[in-house]
Amino acid sequence: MALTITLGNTSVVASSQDEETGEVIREKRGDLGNQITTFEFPDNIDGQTEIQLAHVVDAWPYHSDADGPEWVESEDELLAQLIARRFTTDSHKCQVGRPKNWKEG
Amino acid sequence: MQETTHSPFDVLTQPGTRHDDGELLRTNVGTDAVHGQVFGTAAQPAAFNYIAVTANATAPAAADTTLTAEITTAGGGLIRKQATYAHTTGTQTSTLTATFTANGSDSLPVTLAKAGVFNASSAGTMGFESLISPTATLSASGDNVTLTQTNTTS
Repeated sequence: MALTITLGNTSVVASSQDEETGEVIREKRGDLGNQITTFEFPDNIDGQTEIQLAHVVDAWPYHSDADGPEWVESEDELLAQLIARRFTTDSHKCQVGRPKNWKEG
Repeated sequence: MQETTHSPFDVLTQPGTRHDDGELLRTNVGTDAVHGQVFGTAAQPAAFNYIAVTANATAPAAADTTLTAEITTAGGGLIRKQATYAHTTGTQTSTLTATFTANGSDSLPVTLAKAGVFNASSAGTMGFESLISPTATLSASGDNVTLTQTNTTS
């Protein structure tokens, strides 16, 4: 079964494509409120954890305009810790584990 | 070692520098397969989550069924790969992300110009196709490129 991670997304964007120019348009979807972004990793990735982390960092802006997720959950504790550390800055904290008061919508 | 991040749509060539690009094309056979996946009563076609690359830069066409000159070097690092899939609940978009790292078996340098999304690790159906722009040149073993494909349904 593929490894998954879930991320708390508090500022959802929806990416679409301009049909004429092909340009990616990121539309803020404030109406969606809090949502969950799920990543599913294939079983055989060369360089496993490093690549998995890179894929999350690379794709996150297509799903959110927040500096990072509010929280991360995964059955792979090491990966969850690395993701939380990567997205935690002076102005943003990403925690491991879903807060008890987390609500979607 | 050179590391770059490219997307058929939105290309990050250097940290903090984004460029927009080309059109993602759903092929005719891809459309057939998607309908079969969603509405069909027979066995559903497999999901489209394998990305292949080529140096061929010809514009994608709906009638395409294969990725022209797909890189298939045995033991090479640029062969077709299953991608990381991501989706945010409530949205109509998803992403596929894959990293290609050149190794000693690959013919280098090579400039990657186009990508195809398939539903199998070999052969299968090419459901989507798009140009990579700016193109990504891999010159030495260890050079790598990460492609992120954005998919929208409506």
